[in-house]
Amino acid sequence: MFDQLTKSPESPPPAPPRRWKYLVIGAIVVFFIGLGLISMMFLSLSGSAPPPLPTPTPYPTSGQLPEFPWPPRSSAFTKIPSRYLMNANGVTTLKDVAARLENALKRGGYGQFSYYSVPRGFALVTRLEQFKRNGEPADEAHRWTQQIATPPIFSIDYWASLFIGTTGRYRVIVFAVSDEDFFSQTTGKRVDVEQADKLAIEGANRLPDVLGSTPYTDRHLCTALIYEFEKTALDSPTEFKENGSLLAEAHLQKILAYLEK
Amino acid sequence: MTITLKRSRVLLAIVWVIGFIVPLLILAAQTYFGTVYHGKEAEAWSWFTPNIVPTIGLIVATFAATAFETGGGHKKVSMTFFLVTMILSLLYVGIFTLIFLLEPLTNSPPLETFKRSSLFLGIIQGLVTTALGVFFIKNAKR
Repeated sequence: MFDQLTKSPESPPPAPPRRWKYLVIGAIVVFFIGLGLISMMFLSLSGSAPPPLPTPTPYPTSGQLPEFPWPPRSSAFTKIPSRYLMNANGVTTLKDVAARLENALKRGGYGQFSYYSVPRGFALVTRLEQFKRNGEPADEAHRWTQQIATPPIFSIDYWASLFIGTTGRYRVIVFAVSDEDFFSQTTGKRVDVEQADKLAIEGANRLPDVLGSTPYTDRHLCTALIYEFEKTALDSPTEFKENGSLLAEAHLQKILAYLEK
Repeated sequence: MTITLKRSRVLLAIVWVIGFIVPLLILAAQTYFGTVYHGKEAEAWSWFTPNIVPTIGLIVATFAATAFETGGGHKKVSMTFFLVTMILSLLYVGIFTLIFLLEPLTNSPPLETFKRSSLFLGIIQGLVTTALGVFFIKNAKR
């Protein structure tokens, strides 16, 4: 028993060999180095991150304008040369183009017109107008009505009406200004004569400033759309003509002359 | 004053033949082109025929019946009655022709114009037929 008392306590475990010490120290060093590297990596990434993409600026809204039936399905159309619409000096805006078109319309006797929106632009629409076989407007008493104009007695038109019958011809002219790519009329929206009769009244009376200040660039195009209607007899309905009886230029004879000046 | 029956018949016939041929040619041309009545040409002819053909037929028949008579037309007729008949005839054929000539100047379809015209044309037709009967029916029997 005394031997147990006098027996020295168990000897402590042998000290680990020195190599273990070095391994521990090395692991600690590697740990801190790795931590540093990772930190540096994060720092470098945050320093050279590309700026966020700017929010694309939407096309100036024409939301204040009522929408024109688009894509169109007209009886005829033609392009208006840009040189007729652009300012000689300086930047041309859509407002300048609209003013030029309005001026030509007024001088051509088209006192009533209104604005509609089309994708990336606007449409300027004239009132439903009666016209003669050769494209000239009907006499002023019948020009803005659907009542078929009566010819002067014993004139050529009179004899033609007597033997061939009376036909009423009507049209709406639309100037569509836009920088959208060329549209196809295959799936265009038709306009009947009742709608056409109201177009010049139900649109806006001016172009919104937000849209008007947009520059008119080389990508912009002004297209004149002709919606033609025909009434083959006094007791028959007025119907849309799928294919115009005249070229668009013939319909625009009263307007183009003033645009060219 | 008087006028011979023969002479009066001839003058009346001239008026009625001209008044028949002009509208006939207009209606025939309109039917040929086919763009005035839009398939309803039969209705137009249905209106035209009873308004002029019976009277022309009567005149032609009277002349046919008396074609081989000699000397039978010297019967005298009152000038006043002849003038009344002539005026009524001119009035009737004039209005009848104007119905066609004024078609391009109206705002109604032609067939509607014809229907409206029948309202006053019928009155004149009754009077003129009665008067013509004296010249072409009554005296044709003799």
